[in-house]
Amino acid sequence: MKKVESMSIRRKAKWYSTWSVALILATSVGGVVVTNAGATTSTIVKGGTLTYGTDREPTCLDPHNYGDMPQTYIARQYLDSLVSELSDGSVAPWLAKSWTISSDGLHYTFQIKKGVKFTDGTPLNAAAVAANFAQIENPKTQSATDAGYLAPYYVSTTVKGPYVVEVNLKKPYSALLDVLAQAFFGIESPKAMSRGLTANCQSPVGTGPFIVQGWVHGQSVTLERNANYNSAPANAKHQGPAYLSKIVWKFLEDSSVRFAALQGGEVPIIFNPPAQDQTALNADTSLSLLQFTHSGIPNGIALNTSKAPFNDVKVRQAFFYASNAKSALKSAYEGTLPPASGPLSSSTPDYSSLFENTHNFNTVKANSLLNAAGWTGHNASGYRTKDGKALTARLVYSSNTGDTPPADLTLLQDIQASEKTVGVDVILVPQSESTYFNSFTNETNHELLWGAYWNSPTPAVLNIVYSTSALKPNLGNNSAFTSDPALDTILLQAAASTVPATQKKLYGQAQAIVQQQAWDLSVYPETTRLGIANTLSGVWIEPSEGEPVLSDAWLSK
Amino acid sequence: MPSLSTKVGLWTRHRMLRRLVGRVAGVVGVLFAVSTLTFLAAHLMPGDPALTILGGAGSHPTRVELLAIDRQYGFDKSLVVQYVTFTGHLLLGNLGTSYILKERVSTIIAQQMGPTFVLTIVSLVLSWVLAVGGTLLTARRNRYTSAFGSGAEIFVAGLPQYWLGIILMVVFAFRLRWFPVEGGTGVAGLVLPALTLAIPLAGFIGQVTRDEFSSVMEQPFVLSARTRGMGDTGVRVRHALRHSILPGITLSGWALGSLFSTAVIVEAVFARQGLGQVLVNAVSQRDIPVVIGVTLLVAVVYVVANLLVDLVYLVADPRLRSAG
Amino acid sequence: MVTSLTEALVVGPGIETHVRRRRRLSFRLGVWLSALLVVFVTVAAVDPSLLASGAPDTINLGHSFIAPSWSHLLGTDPSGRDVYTRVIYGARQSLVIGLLATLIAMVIAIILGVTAGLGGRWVDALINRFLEVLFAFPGLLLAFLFVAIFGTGVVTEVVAVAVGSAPGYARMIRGQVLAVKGSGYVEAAYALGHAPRRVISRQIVPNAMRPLVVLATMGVGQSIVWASSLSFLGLGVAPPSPEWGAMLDAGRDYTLQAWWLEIFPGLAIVLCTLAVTSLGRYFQQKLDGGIGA
Repeated sequence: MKKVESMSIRRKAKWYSTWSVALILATSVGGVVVTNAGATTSTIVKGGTLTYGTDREPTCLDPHNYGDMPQTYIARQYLDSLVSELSDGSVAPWLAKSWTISSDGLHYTFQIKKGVKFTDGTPLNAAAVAANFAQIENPKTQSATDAGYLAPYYVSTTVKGPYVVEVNLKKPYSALLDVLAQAFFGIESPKAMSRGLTANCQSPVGTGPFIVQGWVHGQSVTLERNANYNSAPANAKHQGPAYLSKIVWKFLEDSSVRFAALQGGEVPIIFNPPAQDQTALNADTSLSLLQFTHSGIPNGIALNTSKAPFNDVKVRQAFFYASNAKSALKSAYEGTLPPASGPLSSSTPDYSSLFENTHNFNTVKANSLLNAAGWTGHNASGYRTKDGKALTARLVYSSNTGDTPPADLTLLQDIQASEKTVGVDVILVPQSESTYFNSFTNETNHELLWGAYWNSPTPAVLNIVYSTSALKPNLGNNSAFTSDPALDTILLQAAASTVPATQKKLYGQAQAIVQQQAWDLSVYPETTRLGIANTLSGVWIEPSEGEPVLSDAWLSK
Repeated sequence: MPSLSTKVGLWTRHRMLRRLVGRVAGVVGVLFAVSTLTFLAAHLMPGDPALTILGGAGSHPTRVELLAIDRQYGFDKSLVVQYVTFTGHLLLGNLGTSYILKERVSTIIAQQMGPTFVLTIVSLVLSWVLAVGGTLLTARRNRYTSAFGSGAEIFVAGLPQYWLGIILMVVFAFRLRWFPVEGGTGVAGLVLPALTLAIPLAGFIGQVTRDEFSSVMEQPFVLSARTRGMGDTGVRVRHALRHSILPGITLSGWALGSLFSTAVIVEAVFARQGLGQVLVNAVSQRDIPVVIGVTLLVAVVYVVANLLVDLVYLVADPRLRSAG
Repeated sequence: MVTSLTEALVVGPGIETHVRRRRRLSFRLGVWLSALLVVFVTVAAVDPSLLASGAPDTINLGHSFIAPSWSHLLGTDPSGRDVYTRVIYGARQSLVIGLLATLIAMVIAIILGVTAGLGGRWVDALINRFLEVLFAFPGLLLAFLFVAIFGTGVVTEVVAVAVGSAPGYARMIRGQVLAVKGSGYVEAAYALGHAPRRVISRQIVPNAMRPLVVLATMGVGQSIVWASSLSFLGLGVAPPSPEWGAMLDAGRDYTLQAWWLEIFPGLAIVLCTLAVTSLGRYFQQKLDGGIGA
């Protein structure tokens, strides 16, 4: 049951999430870099089998279906997209060698690269690209992320010539290119897609550097080199076929197993090395760490504002003051993660640093707020009471260690103990995954919810998570169940504005409201980390969704 | 059972055949009931299956999308209709398609069954070797050896598998690096998981074998064998052991089924391919077709193993044959 | 866990008699040590503050991962909580879960077993078939499905373990009832003209129940192990409860850097189970021959 690891991007499909900023954390130990240098040898070695140890298993290898992070991580290895994201937020040519955007921003015309073939022999052309949009739009594909990205804007795709395709929108969507850069929008063979969802989930066919060879559920996916690869993105480290001849994409749920395998040399690269082994990783000169911080809403605890006790802003603020979240994070993750405080992750555009210390640990303030809120009585166990009812809050989290790793549990228990000192009784309630996901939409059985993060490139994510309009149509977006007309107005103005300074001002106001309302206790930003042995070189993380890129990687003998 | 038919007469064979037919009919009945019970259990699980299919609440499907799935899978029908459909498909050998993995359940089971099966069989054999070895070496020896043997058996029988597994893994894979951490399905990767399952089981097959062994050693025919000049080892192996493994054989049928379900934990600890991992994930994600498929398979293994044990018992114990 | 002695006792025809046949009362020292340990664990369960001065959930963020030493006999965990204190306080929960689960299993089993044994051919056949169906789900699987349906928590954990082990006991009880019913002294009681109701309540039920005392003793140990397995799979009690299985689950990612988090709660489970089982077997030997069946 233990699926695993930690700061992985979890279930929540990230709609609207486009580019995220690669953050280079230049620490002196461990060597956090965005491209790993690997061994000192400069001669590239071709061939060899690379085992990549990851935590969660994708449910379907076709990322058009559903759309969870594990799908995009692996799909990057066998699917090419139309464009490739650069770290400055612009895009480079990939399967589209160039494109033009109409002046009204409603028509995107792509010139498709010639001479590229899918690995089943089908040629890549405009019709093939159009077929991909058709598949995403087809309800049978059961697309959540892709369909979600396109839904508010997309109208149709038109084939304008053998290698010219036009995407038509109903309203301008400046983020479209960044959206298409994700492996979620990898281009697949129309012939393979026509086999239907079941077959396509097992072995999707792309034009990418690797080919899906087999998938043993619960164990691994085997990828083989595409010897005819000729469609690397413009920003790749080299053109032509990948250096590695084979990749075994192995699911090692237990983080300590993953790390032991890395340390023992069995697996040269692992996804999300556990925090508790950070010291060992730093000390080991044969290992290095590649880290990527996502922008958007940081991971934390959503306070259920739909009912008592957190329908009272004083109680929410008291909960913030008493949580001692920064110390809890430091103890649980042993200082490997930066604290997040404030509504947005620090790498998000228009992030305001004003709120980093507004809710620092302060039991005096917490107690006076709770007193003011009328929670003045105390029961036999020392918890506060009001009208004979104890101040109790059930905190739900997924019992799956893939969603809630041990370090998260340590953190939650630390917060629980800290809240106890001001008389708030936090009860931890592990839930099976299906029940847990139900809690995002169902406010009746919990007061607190762990895991309420949202990866997104833009501060407009505040609109997705906190606006009144987010309460109804797409259930589960607004996991604090909030509604604030003043905030709604500000966010609408910000979305309509094209002036950066105005946007910055408005988003600053929005962050102030969210922080003052104390809806979400932010704890740490979502992070993608790769532990890499020195025998492996050339790995890089692309910045649209933090996908690892292995086509430029090579193993020294 | 050719060896049987040469030994027993026509009359006994007829009775045995009737008994066999009765048992097989019973097995079919049990499996039918098991499938019904599992179906009901699966539908009692909280959560919306349409939501599961669309990727959980995290994927934020709209009500229209959910209704479409309800219609496609027949969730809008009554439980009775769903049950009849389910049973109909089952009779045709159709276990359905996984909600999550979008693959036929039969394919998933076929893919995962091998490693789990190998693990359980190897563990069973290994535990027999350990148990019989322990019994032969320590039972009815001097006081301290016997006490040590039986003490060790009680001790290992009480070891929780998951704990033993972690200890073995940390010591032999993490520290000493004698075995791979991510073993895969090869021989080297089989050693630690198999030992994890076999050691506690050996401890308690051993207890049963030892008791039987000790009492057989006091039987008159053992004494007469000794008076005929048979050596101690000969007596132990040829007479006492033969009789003392009977109850252990009965246990093996039960043990096989139970090993199958305990493999869940061991596979989780060792990140080993197999049905256990699949089942645990399916339960937590409410992937009902997979839960039902795997549960049914485990039930089939258990029931069939016990049926086989009954037959082996007939071969091993002549007394039962005449008793019919 | 599933490989439990109690389960073995009841699964196959004739097994119970094989185990019972052990004659010598072996290793008395072991029995004394077991008794001592059981007393210790009982004290810990009744009043843990007698054995540990601190509180099990007192967090001390500056004192995490301290290796076993004089100030922290069994070390501290990631939150700086004292592992010794937690193991002592965990005894109550583990013991209560073990006792309750066994008790519930026994009640279910006695109702099913006695009804089957005394209820006549059809009732017997019906209950027998039902048990056979339950048997087809190996214990852990049954508990597992149960938790999946009713969710995690102490209550479901207890009931899940009980439901998983009840079929085994029920079959054993039925066998005992049938054996006692057919025994000489029951026939004698009937011959003496005693009313059937009196024979059942005075002769059959008490005599059939006698071996259960032993079975229950051993069942407690197994229930503890079993419940801890569920906790280990994340399906048991929620943190910060110091239940032993939950402690093991929490410690498993720290095995490389803090071995004490995994070793000591595990040893507590093993030793507790071992002590209870040894005592059970000792009583069994004492009782041997007194069953009259």
